[in-house]
Amino acid sequence: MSGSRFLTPPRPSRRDVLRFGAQAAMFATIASQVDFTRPAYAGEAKLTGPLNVLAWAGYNDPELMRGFTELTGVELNIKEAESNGAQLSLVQAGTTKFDVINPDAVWTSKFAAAGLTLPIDTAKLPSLDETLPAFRNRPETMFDGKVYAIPTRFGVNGFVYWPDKISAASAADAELAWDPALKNRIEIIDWPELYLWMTGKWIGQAKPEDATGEALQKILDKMMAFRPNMRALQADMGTVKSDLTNREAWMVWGSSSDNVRTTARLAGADVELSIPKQGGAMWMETLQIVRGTEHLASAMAYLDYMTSAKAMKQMA
Amino acid sequence: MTNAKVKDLLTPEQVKALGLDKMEEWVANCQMSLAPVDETAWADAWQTFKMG
Repeated sequence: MSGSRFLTPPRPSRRDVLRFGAQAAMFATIASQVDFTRPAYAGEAKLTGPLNVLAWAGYNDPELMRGFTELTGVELNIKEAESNGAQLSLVQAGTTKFDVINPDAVWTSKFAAAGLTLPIDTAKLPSLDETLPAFRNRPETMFDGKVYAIPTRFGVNGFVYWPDKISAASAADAELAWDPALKNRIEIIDWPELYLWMTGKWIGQAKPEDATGEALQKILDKMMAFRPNMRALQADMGTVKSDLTNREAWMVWGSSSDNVRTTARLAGADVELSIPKQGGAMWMETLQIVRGTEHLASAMAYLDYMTSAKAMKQMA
Repeated sequence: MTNAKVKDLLTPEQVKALGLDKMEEWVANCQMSLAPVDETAWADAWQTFKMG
């Protein structure tokens, strides 16, 4: 990581995007369209290419891509993904034959169940020996007892706040978001599933993702009670970061809190991050190999490279 | 970043600025947020919230 790169605020996250992209019915359609009579993969013995990768912003960093090509001799074609649903649609359409995709971990079972991805032999990925324990064999990366997804980037969601306005003790409790003392001082972004899910957790629901009817109404009621404290619901992360940095907002809830904290601090704002005692929410990207790839060895080499310390430093 | 060795390649200041010194603690206190089972109902609920 060069000094100038490090000083660059983290790239705008695709978490800006409203992610209600896929419908359950779509998966049934996709499953019926996968041709299971075709070979699941080829090119497992030699590094071949080019490798077609569908990934979120950041994976197409020229220096990052060059590092892989210098290491393996394999050229990369990287198309930027707009959403998880878009990745699903593009893989299913098959117009471009992608070898590696980059969905969020919680989408792993959906891709695998539809027959779109391959199980991964993690013993062939030496970089995984360096993976933080918290990211090893996570259930979200598994399907039918096999690993289908390799974690790469992730983020946490809690509160980022000005410590001269909000105490650490207050920020350790999720109820802070409803504290009348913070009227019109908190900003959030347009990320419905995050806030509804977190609020469901915070009001005691074990599986808020299952909430419908009365359970969902309870979440909505709690969110409506938050509105007096909501200074703005922004469409993008950039605005919440700048509003926090210039102290128009005293706190940002969610919006990928570690990213908000880093950007604000690089801009000179001495803000703090707290994960409330009721728990925070995490998101995690993964790399997955598309069924039908003709470059399996190169795809595996790419997964190993992207999970190496060198590549992750470049992504930081 | 999920690779534990990344910190070894950064300066202490960079580790601190990126929050990597606290990341494991933050992650330990978080759960993976999951997509709703009923996306339409959640979309409607969010729209109601936005409209106030």
